[in-house]
Amino acid sequence: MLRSVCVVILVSLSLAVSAQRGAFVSVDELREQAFPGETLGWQTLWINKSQRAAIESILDHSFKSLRVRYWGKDQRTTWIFEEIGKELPITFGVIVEDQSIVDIVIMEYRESRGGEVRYPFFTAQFKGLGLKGDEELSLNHSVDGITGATLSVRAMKKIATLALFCHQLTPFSQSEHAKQAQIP
Amino acid sequence: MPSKPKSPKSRLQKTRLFFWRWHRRIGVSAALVVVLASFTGILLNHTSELELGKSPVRQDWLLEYYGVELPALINFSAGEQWVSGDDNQYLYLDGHQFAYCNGRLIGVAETDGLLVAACTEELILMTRAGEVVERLGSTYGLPVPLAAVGSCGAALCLRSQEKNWVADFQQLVWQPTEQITTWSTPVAMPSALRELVLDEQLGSDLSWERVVQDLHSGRILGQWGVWVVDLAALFLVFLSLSGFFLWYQQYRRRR
Repeated sequence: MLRSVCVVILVSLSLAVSAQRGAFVSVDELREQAFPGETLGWQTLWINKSQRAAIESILDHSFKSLRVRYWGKDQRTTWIFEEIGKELPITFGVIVEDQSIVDIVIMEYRESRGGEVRYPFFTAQFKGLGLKGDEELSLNHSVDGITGATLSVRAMKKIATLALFCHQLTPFSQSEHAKQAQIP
Repeated sequence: MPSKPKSPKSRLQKTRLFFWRWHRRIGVSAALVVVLASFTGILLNHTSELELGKSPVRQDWLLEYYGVELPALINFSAGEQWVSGDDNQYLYLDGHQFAYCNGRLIGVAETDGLLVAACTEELILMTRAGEVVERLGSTYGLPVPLAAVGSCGAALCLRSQEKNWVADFQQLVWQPTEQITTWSTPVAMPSALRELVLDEQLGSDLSWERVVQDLHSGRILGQWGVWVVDLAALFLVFLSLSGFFLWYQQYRRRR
């Protein structure tokens, strides 16, 4: 009897752990979600020295890449970033429009704990958030954490801030009026 | 016939002779260990000034003796440059560490003026100065695990899942291809380059202070070495006692 109870507990635990990990959204699904029916090519954002310093201050660790890929159309951009939660990278997809977050999704979660961050009850808090200001690289509204997923929550906040910052650096952050004004 | 009782003088002479003989023998036997222990003792007394604790051991044979495993290195040429990888998944450009790669390094190729280091799980695009431009993994649709990388005409081709793929780095598209590809293959590592990589990679686990300490205590030869040094210490005790005895005898005779 005791053995059966132990087996049931172990199976339940392993199912709970495996339920946390997984690939939930593919690149094509993210693009379709951000730009329905559109076939967009990748855009490239080249990062200069001062921008890299800003990115490193957002992430609180070094950022080695010289360029970042994204999709963009009108005033909307979509970004894919990876950030370590506790030990393994979490792949995030972030859709930004008009300086605020439209949606943030977890495309792949590899940690054994903290996967609750992918559920809409949590990600909904990021919708509509922007940066505090040009000088202050942090979100303009607080986000409630989840017990047991502190590091994953922290990683998501960093990536949301990073996507908003990178969005500012693209031509898609400007209004159509401003873009047209730049055309000679 | 009963033996004649020995005079105190002859007994003293015999003891003196015994001490002389053994003082010499033990002195010669202990000499090597004493010299070694003295020399290493001096080094340990000045370990801070000599920075022995911060000086890593680089000698392959000594690291091997201590059981510190040398990393397995794989090396590819990229024009006049070398890209190497170790089994801890660190990459080196001309012997200098520049990135961590997800997976084992399987080849190097060139595209659009950039070097592409291919590991089993990702591609690292970098400048010839060793700056990472971009990392591309399965998130960007890269067919993994990669088995090989090479040039197919002007493009870069990959081998994965028993198929050849041509890479479009502008749009990050990986298309199956039948193009003939010249695959990147590992080449022997020049010894100077190997030294440079090992110099960056090795030694943090073992300092010269530890080696000198082990020489001093005899632990470098295991438990037997410790016994040898213990024996040499006992010999030193004997030498000091026998030396004093012999000196005292001579001193009394002169008086």
